[in-house]
Amino acid sequence: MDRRRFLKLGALTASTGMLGACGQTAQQIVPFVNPPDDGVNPVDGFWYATTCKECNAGCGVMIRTVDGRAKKLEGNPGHPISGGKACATGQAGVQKVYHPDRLKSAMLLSGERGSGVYKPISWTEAVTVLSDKLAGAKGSVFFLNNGSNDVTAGVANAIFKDSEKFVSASNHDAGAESLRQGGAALTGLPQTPYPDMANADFSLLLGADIFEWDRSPVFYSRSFGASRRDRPSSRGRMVYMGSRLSSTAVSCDKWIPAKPGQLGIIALSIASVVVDGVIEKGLARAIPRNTLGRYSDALRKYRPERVAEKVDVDAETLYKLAAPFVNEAPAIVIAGDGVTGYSNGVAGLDAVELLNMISYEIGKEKLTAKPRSTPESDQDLKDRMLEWFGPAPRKQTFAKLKSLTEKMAAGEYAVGLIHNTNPVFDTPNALKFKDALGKVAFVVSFANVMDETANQADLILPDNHWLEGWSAQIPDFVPGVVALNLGQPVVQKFQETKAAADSLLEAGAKAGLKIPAANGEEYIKKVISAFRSEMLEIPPALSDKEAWNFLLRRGGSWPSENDTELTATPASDKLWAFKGNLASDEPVFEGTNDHPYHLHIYQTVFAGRGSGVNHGWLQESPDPITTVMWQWWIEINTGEAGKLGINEGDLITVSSVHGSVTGPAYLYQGLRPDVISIPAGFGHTNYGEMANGRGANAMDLLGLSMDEASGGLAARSQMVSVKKAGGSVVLLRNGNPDGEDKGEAFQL
Amino acid sequence: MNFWNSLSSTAKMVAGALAAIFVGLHIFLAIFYFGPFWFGTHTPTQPIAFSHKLHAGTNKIPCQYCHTLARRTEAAGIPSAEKCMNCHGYVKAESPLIVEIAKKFENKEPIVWQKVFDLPDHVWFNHKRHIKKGFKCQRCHGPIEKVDVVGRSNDFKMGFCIGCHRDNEAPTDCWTCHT
Repeated sequence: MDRRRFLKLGALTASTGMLGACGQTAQQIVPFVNPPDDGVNPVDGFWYATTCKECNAGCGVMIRTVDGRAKKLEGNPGHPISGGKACATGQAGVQKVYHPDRLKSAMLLSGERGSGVYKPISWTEAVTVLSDKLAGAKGSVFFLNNGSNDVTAGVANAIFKDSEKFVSASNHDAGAESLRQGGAALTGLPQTPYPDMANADFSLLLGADIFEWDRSPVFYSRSFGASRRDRPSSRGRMVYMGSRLSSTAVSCDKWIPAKPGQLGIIALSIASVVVDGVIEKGLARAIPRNTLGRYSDALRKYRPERVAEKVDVDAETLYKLAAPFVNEAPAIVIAGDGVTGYSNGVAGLDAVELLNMISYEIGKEKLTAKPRSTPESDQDLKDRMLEWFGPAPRKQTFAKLKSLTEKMAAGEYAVGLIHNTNPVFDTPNALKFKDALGKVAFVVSFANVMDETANQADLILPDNHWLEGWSAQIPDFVPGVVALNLGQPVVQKFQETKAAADSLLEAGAKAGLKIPAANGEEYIKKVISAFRSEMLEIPPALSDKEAWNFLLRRGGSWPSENDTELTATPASDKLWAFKGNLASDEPVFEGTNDHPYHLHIYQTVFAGRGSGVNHGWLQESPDPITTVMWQWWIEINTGEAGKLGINEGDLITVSSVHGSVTGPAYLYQGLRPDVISIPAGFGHTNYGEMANGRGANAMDLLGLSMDEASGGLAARSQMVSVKKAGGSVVLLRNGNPDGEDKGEAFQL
Repeated sequence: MNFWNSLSSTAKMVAGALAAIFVGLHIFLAIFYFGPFWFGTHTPTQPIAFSHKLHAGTNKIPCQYCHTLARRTEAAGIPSAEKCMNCHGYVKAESPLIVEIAKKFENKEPIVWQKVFDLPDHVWFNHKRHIKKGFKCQRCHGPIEKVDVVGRSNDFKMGFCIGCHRDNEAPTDCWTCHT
């Protein structure tokens, strides 16, 4: 073909294409033959109550569906945690249902482990493979999840409970066990504390990033709003102490950059001033004076002037922080990773709990506090319910996960069941979980998108998205009440998936194992049947079927305000029996003299531990502090960066004794000079197109230092070094706190 | 011509291609702008010769008796076959057209209507808001109760919307409609 003819044909083709685009395809309208029920509006859709599973907090939510598809998530107004609110991560949950990376069917490994070569198999075949393996394992099985007490955990434990070799472990957020264990010596109840911020005049946050990824960001955001706005008497004040000015810290009135690992000492120091103040002013008469005297003696060594230099906060500030506990009570302390992330976490939390309980007693006398107590109203009921949903949270520790990993590495397990967690990616590098997993004879993953752990599995049985199937969960953190969250299928299944509990039950039955129910739905109904008499909110006249529908419409079971006095007895008896156990050891740090910086790994609002990184909606949301989008960064104090000659975007390498990561520097004034801060959850290698290759995995730096008192991972104990790696990149930011508008393009 | 002849063959090819794109783009825009569907009269043939004149005009059935969603949602909605049969199970049940509808209704087969009024995907219109504000359907859809076969009587260009928004002091921010 000559050039002239080529040009003619090209022009003709282009013109035809453009003209073709001008045409309008026939627009048709297909109305209903029979419209839906009266009163139903097919455009506005249907609302269903269910439970969000994007994190472990357990928020009750409402889902709007149109034509069997999820369109919008909102909080369930009646739910004790969410109270009608929802966070960005929950809102983005609907996108995960229709995620392009979702696995389309059950898959069996057909290549080497880790090769990612799988062949799709039918569910009948998949269940048969699993049942054969379970039958052959003779109880040598482990179940690992993210710490959720849900139906899958309950079913796995029920099937294998008679096997001595069976272990059910949890790969949960670092520090959760220390949080539960802290104050247990005082209260007698190892459980996640509930400091009632909504009713407090003054809140002291000790490294507690409660609006990001803590006990429940939604609950605490609500409490924050209530404390600020809903109390006509006074506007709640908040002070944040910690190494980094986090999203939570910027919402507070003041940030005090205390020395890493010393927040426990600070709590003890404030407690020493408060106890003496209570004695001096004759407050809290319910507490025996001799008990207070003994506390006073034990705490004397933590007086502000004695510890000020050590904790890098002047004595005057410590006295000021103590004053509200005596003068303005109710004041509360909320502890978070800044306390639990060190080897002395539990000791610090004992002091925190003591402060809260004394403050409660003072506040009670002033009648300004709504008397919700720290412990939950009915621990016994919660314990009995938990027996249906896997081991109680207080029994799940990082130490247990470590022990499991060691046994895996020793080749002790025939079958490993991994549900809703990605330990190959998000456990410390030093744990060597991936290597240990390689020694397990047969690994089953229930992941519904490919991730680093699923990629090491022999069999993948994709679980439903939580909007597609039945679920029930006992949330660990429920303020003042015991709750059973329910989830129901609210949308049509997007792929050929099956509920993990159903897969286990079917395979268990086929393997001849004793199964607790035919399927997950039946299991939940059994639980409700067992506790029906104690679920006071269910009208007694309802039949079982009506009660089931009643609970589904409600989103679960929890006492309504009328059914229960949210006035559980505080553990005063325990408190007043002074045990003299208030002492804080020095935190132990891991590193050498070549590692001068404290490593501060944190979860961003959107990325979490990594689960949010394959989310388009979350990735494109600017980080609340750095405003970085679609990227990962390493934070360094602005002054310190100046000394090292580091500018924004310069590639820097952070190294610990366990490994190193390289990424662009973000210069941040809201960071102590002796701290390097890194968001967790990035650096995926096998989590889909949106996540892979974005940043590096902060877990590569982390060792296995633990808080021995709780068995929790001391995730902030690592020391690191920093050096320039050469080169730099442009950080994609949506404006920044200095007023520059580097990301104007994103503001369209 | 001297200038044209002085160009190399590659330059001529590029210039020719640019000219073709330029002309093609204008043809495309012209067809898009003046094309009958979006912005012109559009009177498609419907599967059932339904007469708005007979129903809404002669018999004075309110628009929202059939288009029940208009006051409740963004879309006005097209009535279900069941809605037709509510009356026509008794009224003119023997008429050939009604028999056709009844047959489809019994077979659970929807009637596929041809869309008359539509807006481009980048325009968001909410019926509910306009109805609640008290506007008559005819304000946009024209004297629909006077015609047997519905066609587009109004030009739905942006000026049509903006003019009315201005007259009624409704918002004219871009994102009011382009949301």
